[in-house]
Order: sequence, then structure tokens, then C-alpha cells
Amino acid sequence: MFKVNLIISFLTIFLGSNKVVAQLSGYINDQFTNEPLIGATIFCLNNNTAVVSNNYGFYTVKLNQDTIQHFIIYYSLYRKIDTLLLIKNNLSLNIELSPTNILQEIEVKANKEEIYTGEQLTLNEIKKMPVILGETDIIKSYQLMPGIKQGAEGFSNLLIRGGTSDQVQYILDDMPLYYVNHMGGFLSVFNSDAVSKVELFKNHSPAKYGGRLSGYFDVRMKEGNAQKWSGTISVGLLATRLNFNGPVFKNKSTLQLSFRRLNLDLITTPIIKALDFKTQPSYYFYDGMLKYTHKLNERNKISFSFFNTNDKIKILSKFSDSFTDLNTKFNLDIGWGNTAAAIRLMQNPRPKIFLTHVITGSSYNYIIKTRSIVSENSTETYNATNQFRLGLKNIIFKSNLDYNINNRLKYTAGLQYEFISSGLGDQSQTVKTANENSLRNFNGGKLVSNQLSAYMEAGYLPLSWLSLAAGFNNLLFISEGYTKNFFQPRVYAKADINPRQQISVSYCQNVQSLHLLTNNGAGMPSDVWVSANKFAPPQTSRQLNLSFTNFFSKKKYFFQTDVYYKTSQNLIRYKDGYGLFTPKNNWLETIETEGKGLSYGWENLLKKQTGKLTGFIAYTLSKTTNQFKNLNNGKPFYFNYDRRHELNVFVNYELNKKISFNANFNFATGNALTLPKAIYNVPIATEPNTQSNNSYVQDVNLINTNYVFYYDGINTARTSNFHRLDVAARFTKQKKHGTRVLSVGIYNVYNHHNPFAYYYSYNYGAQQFDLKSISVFQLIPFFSYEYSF
Amino acid sequence: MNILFKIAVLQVLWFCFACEKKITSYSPEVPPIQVISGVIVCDSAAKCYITKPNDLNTIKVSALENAKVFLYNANNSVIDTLHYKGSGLYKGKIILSSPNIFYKIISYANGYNDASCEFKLPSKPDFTINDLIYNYFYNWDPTYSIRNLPKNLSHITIQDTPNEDFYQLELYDIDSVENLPGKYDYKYNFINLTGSDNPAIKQEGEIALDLKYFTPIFFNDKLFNGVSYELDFYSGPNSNSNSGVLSSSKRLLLVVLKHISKEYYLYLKTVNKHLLAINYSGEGFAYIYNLYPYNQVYSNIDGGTGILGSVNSSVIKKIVVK
Repeated sequence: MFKVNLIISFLTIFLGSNKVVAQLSGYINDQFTNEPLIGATIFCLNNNTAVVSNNYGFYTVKLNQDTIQHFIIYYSLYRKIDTLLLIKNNLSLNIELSPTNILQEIEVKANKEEIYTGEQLTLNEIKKMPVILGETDIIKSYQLMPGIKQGAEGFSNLLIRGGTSDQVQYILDDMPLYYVNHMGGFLSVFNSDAVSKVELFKNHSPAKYGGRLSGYFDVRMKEGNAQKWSGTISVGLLATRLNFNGPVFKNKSTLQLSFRRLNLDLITTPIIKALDFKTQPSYYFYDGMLKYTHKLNERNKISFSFFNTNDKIKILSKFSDSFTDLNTKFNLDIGWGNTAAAIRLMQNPRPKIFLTHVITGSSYNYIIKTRSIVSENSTETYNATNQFRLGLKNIIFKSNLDYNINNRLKYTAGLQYEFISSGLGDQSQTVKTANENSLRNFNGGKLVSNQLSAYMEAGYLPLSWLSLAAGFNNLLFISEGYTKNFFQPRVYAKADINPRQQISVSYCQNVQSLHLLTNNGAGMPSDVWVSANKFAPPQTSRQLNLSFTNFFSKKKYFFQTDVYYKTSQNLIRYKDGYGLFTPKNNWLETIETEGKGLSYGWENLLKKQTGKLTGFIAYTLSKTTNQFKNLNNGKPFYFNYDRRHELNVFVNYELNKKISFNANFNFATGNALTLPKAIYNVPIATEPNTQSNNSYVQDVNLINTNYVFYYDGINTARTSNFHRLDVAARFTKQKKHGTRVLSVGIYNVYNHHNPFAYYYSYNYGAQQFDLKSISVFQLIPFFSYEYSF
Repeated sequence: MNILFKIAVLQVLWFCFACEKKITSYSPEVPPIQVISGVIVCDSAAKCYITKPNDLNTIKVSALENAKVFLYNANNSVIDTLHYKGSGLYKGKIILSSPNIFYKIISYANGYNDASCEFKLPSKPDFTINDLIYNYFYNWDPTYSIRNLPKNLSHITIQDTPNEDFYQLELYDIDSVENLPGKYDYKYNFINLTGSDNPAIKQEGEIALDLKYFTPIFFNDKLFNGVSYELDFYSGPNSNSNSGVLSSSKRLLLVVLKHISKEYYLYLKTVNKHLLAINYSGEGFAYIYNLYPYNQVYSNIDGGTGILGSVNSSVIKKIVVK
């Protein structure tokens, strides 16, 4: 049995001797840091009820008064508490759990009060997965789950069930984020040291989530150690991470700070500069998270969260023309980043009620600056600058109520107002010469929308083996004179066939009022978010999901299989030939609208959760097509990232408490792409000739013709299959003042060239077009050093 | 600017990690379609080139010599037969001079899908020019041209009310006033039609690349909408020119405005973008499927591919440069 470690603090409230039920409520925290534990379970064996702590660690459960109740309280990688408690009246009880390295094996026979949970990977599982150059990445870990694709090799996108990168909403402590990638997509912006919990909703969307078609990626930051200051320093081949957290006022307020910066440019930039290349590129990124939490009293808490990322590419070019004595310098600066902040008030006015009120603002910016300087004999003769900027801002006010009517009935409701302003691109140009000093500004305009949404959801356990949830999210959308109401029902039902097997069915409708002008859905920082309007109305989707879950061998193994069917409407896509390089002020003319999407598939996950050897196998069989009236002759075509088969295998072996090994194998059939089938010639004009009527006529011939590619449809070809094996080892050592973890490994062990891009190159010798592929990440050994104190 | 972003990302990546591989396993079957190419000019007989597409390893013009090509009127009656003249050229005899009347060309060739195209001749362009002024820069490089600003700046003003017509504007520089009809020594590499401060319109009129002898700009007259535009043209010496001395000889500039069919306009727009991508293929930027969209060249040929455009043109102005 585990050592019981329980600290009780309580207030007794007398409600009257006629009451036969009492409410037990409080917070579940880490014993040493006081960090709220999200999703911890309190299982009451007497009445076979299990409740789960919410996103702030709060729980509440109704019990019979004047009874002794038997509880098991447990949470992943924390020692369970098995205890008896006398319930006389309403009781406020804060529980502290102590961490352990061993996964607990708990047999819970009751239906949890938390009827539906999303896909969850623990931070411990995420840290064990080897990713790019030893850097832990939350999003890349989720890409291994069934039904989730990354897009092209290396990209940090979640393409869920045939959706594009914009169809997943990334939420960090209630702050929506709009571009969550560094390095053009190879690493996400989430620093795992500062993250407490991650949950991805894709099979079903609880009513409080809205605004995206494919899923919601909800990330919660840690609050920080309330007892003493602690932290982590990690240095790897790719980046350096710092995390510090601790009490500002002990047991009253905490501060959590984390920062991460790329290392690579610190090595490459001085080398390039020293070698004095004519073109000198450099790139760096940083991201930072801050959270301040203050406990006003036992029932009220306030917190402030702040998030900032910045990526910057710089290129300096210089060249000289010896014939003209002209020297030219060219500077290019490209930057993009998110900034977001949120203030949150959490209230627990009654044991059954939990309220949160949030004000949050978020901003995404993308900017390109160029400067050209021409000098002749050391005298500057020409100086021109050009700046292009676009971005998006939004402000959200929202309130949420969680009301536990009783152990079988829970009610959630909320209101949200959101203001969004998306800029289509402002440009300014200056030119200075001996004869000219000009400034031109061009305002691309803004699109503004206001959205008011209300949601309600009831979770009901009518029988011990049956869970039901029904609700809706209603959105009133107003933009540029276009007003429309969208009702989005959400229904979920789960039944226990027996203590180890469950089946569930869910149906949900989603609306997305923001379009992303993205090239092929890959997701680039220069993609533009634009608000829907009457010409490009909000996108909608409907999804039906059937699921079967089986625990076996005393819950050591977990198997889940899902079948889904999803349709989408009002999709948008760039017209043929349009993309990143199209001016955005007339964006409506560059897109096709009224697109339809159809996606269906079969997802499987087999997971071993306990023991020295853990891991999972995920397999997905799926198909996604899109259809637009003016594309591909109106016929359906494959979605760009339609991969028929996808298999991910992850294995972790704990040799002992100090050494562990892991391996990750990914296989997927090729993405769809458009490649030409043939070449043909196009006419070219000749010189003009006069005619007798003095008009000029130009002829065309094929003597000096041009050649162009012929395509027989969109996405009719396939890239080669994708597969890769990564291995790593972790060595943990307890030091005097902290813990050191050294990770070493190899990314892409057998050096398979997975294509990132394809292109045609003209071979002048053979006089033909060669098709070539570019692969980005070959065999790469990596290491990282992490010290926690 | 976004091209620069793409260059920047790829440069950083390629500096660090990238690896390139030639794909030999992709050999699609060439479809059995005809390629019909040509521009029907008002007051001329119908003519077009008929060829076949080639596989991706064969860059040559493959003429179809035995096609049966007929010209139909709107009543589906054959009014002309286009006979083979060599090098893929098929030409008829009947002079087409009526604008806004529908015609159809159908080509039958053994072993290939039948191909057809319906077209009509546009009317003569109806344009008003209030004034005639020009900017003329000697060197194509904008940095040089800005340094060498002529002393007397001026511009061409074109005003019209918008409708759904499409136009193509060309400038020709004839080497001598006395030498008409003649050749021209200077080809305009870069013609810029700008309107006020709207760079979108500038981009509409801007030539994307040098199409060898063909340097037009083409536009939809929605651009105009009662606004005047400034026409600037830049010229550079070509390889055939033996002189950079411009100002010492009398030169004739011809401004030719053509009324073109919508199909030809769409073709010109898409072929420019398409050739721009292929021209970059040596640097490896073309058709990067994650970053650059594929671009099908517009075709109005049913059952095949290619373009059959139609044109009606007239000279706007002759300018003698002293």
C-alpha cells in the first residue's frame, strides 16, 4: 500500500439538520509545488461515483451526510491516496498528492463524472518522444496520434481528419494563438517546461469550444511552485530553455516564467560573417511565457497570463560591379510572432458552482522589410526601403459556469463576445536619390467582425453504465453588414458494455468564421487570416464519430478504435495560379468559395500504459476529398494531405530509474500533389507588320515557341511514402541540488529522404525537365542537457 | 516580398540540412489530345497550329500533319476547310471580318481525341485618348532609369468607362521614320502601367518576364473606371542592336492597342505566371508543392488543350522621338 500523505484543511458550514446530502469540494494540488492537478480523479467507492478536477484543479462531489465514505484519489505519476472520511456537513477539502515516477494501476469501476475527455498525452510521455534535434515538442508528439497528420515532413501542424492547419484552434490559458510554429513549421511555440496539461478535442467538441472545424488544442500553463523557487535549464543542439517558478507571497501568489531561444544562429552567423559570404543569412527565434496567480481568498483566485513569440530571418547581400564601380547592399528582414495576454478570475461561490471570467487579447503580426543601397565611388546614390505588414488582433470577453447539480447531473453554460480585426497588408515605400525623395503608403484595409456566442451543455449519468451529454454552441456572427446566426448542436453518449469495454457515439456541428488564405493548407507565417463575409461565408462542418474502447490485462493495455464521417461546407481555396504572391487587398478575387469537403476514416490506438515497457501503436486508414465548382472541372479531388495509410509506433523502455531508451517509427503513404502529365507548346508573337490600311498586325508562330506543362487534374499524383526511425536514450542523475537529464539520440536513423518539396528543373544537357525532391532532415544525431532544481 | 520570404526560408534550410534527389520513377502516359494554338485576327483568314503534347523528357514541336480541320458558323455549317501548310500550320481561305459572330473550329486526327473551339472576333477597340505624353527611360534596370530621369516628364492619359472588354497594349520602336514598314531595334523589356497609388493595378499591367520578342501588357478595362493612368516604358539594348545611341536619331514609337477576346486574355495571364515558375526552375523554386501553387495555363479547347485567341487592333498613335 502507498504511504498516505494527506493534509486536511476544512471549513464546516452548517446547512440544517434536515439535509441528507453534503457537498465535498476543494482543490487538488501537488504536495511540493501546490500546482493544481488538472484531471485528477476522486473515486468514491460507496456510491460508485468518480469525479475529476477541472482546469483549475477544483473538484466537487455530492455525498450522503453523516456517513463514512471510502475514497481513492489518484493522478498520473502521483501516489494515490486511499482513505476514509466522515462526512457530516458540507466540507471544503484541499488535497495534496505527492509525485512518483511510477504509473499507478487503478481499477475504477464507475463512470467518471467527466463524461467526455479529449486526447491526452501526459507531459511525461511527451518528454520521452524524440523529435527534432532533441527538442521536445508538444504538437509533434500529438502528430503521432491516430487521425492527425503533420502535412509535409517537419511541419508542426495538426491536420485533423482532412482539415487544413487553420481548422484547429490553439488555446493557451484561454488565449487563442494564430500561428504556432517556429522555423517555418519545424518546431511549435509551446515550451513544455511551462505546460501543465494538454488536451486535444477531435472526436467530439464540448459545447464551450467553438470557432474551428476540426479540433481544439487546449494547453494550460503551470501556475508555479507555491513553496519555493525552482526551475529548469536545458541546452540542446537546437535551443536553450529556461524555466523559473516560485512564490511571490508564499502559499498566496506564484509566478511562472519560461523562455526559449534558438542556438543554431549563434554558431552559424559568426562563421558566415567571418567567411565574408556575399549573401549572409541568419535566423533566430525566441518564445516566452509568464503566468502570475494570486489567491484572493479560499473561494477566489485571479491570474494573469502572457505569451510572446518572435521569429526573424535576416539576409544581407552585397555585390560590386567592377565595370561601373557600383556597390549594392541589400537587406532583407522578415519577422513574425504572436503576443497574447489574459486576465482570469476564478470563483467558487458555492460548493457546486465554479465560475471563470476571462478577458483576453491576442495579436499576430508578420512583417517584411527590405532596404537597397547603391553607392558609386563611396557616394550613396540610391536608397530605397519597402515595408509590408499584415496581422490579426482579437479581444475576447467570456464567462463560464460549471454547476454540479448532483453526482449524476452537471451543467455548463457560458457567454462569449469576440472582436476580430484582420489586416490585409499595409505597405510603405521610400526612395531617396539625387532627384527624388518620395514616400508612398498603401493601406490594404482591414476586415472586422464581431461574434457573440452562447453555449449550454448538460452531462447526465442516468444509469451507472450510461453517460449522456447534450448541448449546443450558438454563434451570432456580424461582419461588414453580413449577419448570420449559427446553431451548433453537440451530442455524446457512452455506454459500458462491461467494466472493460465501452462504446460511444457523438455528433457535432462546428462553424469557423475566420478563413486562412493558405497555400495548399501547409501553413506559413505569411498566410493571411480574413474574416468571413457574405461573399465567403463561414465554413461549417458536421461530424459523426463511433468509438469502441477496450481495457485489458488489468488495464495495462488500452485499445480504442474510431470510425468517423465528416462533411464540410463553404470551404475556400486559392484559384489555380494564385497563392502566396497575390496581393491581398482583392483577396476575394483570388479564391474559390463554396467548396465541399468529405472525410471518413478508421482510427486505431493500442497503448501499453504501465510497466517497464510502455508505448503505443497508432494506425489510421482515411480518405479526404474536396470539391469546388470552378476547380478540376467541378469534380472532387484529393485533399493535399490525403494519406491513405498512416502507422506510428512508439516504444519506451525504462531500464532502471536512471536510464531509459525509446524509439519512434513513422510510416505513411504519400501525400497528393499536382504534377504535369505532358509538355506542349504555346504560341508566341512575331514582330509587327504594317498593312495597307496602316494598321499593325502581329502574327503568332511556333518557331520560337514556349513550352508549358499539361495537367489532367488537381492532386492526381502522389509523393513517395514517408517513413522514419528515431531512437534516443535518457540518462537521469540525481544531483545535490537538482536533477540532471542527458538525452542523446539519432533522428532518422537509416537516413531515409522524406520529401519536403518537389520541383522541376530544366536539364540543359539532356534538354529535358527533371523532377527533383528536396528532403530537409537527414540522419541527425542530437543531444540535450537539462538541469532541474 | 513573399518570394523573398520563400527564398529566405529555403536558403536557411539548405544551408543547414537540405538534400536534393532526382525522381526517375515518375513517367506518366502522354494523353491522346490535340494542341490547338493560334490567334485569329480580324480581316484575315482563320489559321492555327495543331500539334501533339510530348512526354516530360521531350522538348520539341510535334506537328500533327494529317488532321482534318473545319471552320463552322453559328448554324453549325462548314464554311471553310483549313489546309495544312507545313510546320503544324493549318490555314483557311475565307476572310473573317465580322466581329461579335460566333465561329467554331473542329479538328479530327486519327489516334487523338477530337478537339474543338468556339470563338468570336472582338470589335475594333473604342478608346479615347485625351493627351499623349510619355516617359521614356533608356535602361531597363529601374535603378538606372531612376537615375537617368528625362528632364521633361510626361505621361499618356487613357480614359474610358469600364465594361467587360479586354485589351493588350504594345509599344514598338521603329528605327527610322523613313523606314516604314520596318523592324525595330529596341524591344521594351518592361512596360509599366500605373494608376495613382494602387500597386495592385501596377501589378496587373506589369510584365512578369521577357517573352523574347513579345512584350505586351494586357488588362481588363475594369482598371480604368474613369481614372487616368501613366504609361512608362523602359527599354534596354538587345543583342541585335549595334548602338546605344538613342537620342541622336529620329525614332518612331508606335502605340498599338488591341481588343482581345476574354479567352486570350485569360491565357496571357496564366501563361505569364506559368512561365515565370518554369524560368525559376533552375534555381529550384518552381512547383515546390508546399510553397508554390501549380498553375494550369488557360485553355479554351474542348477535348484538347492550347489556345485559340481572337484579336482586333488599330494603331493609337505614332510618336516621333527627336
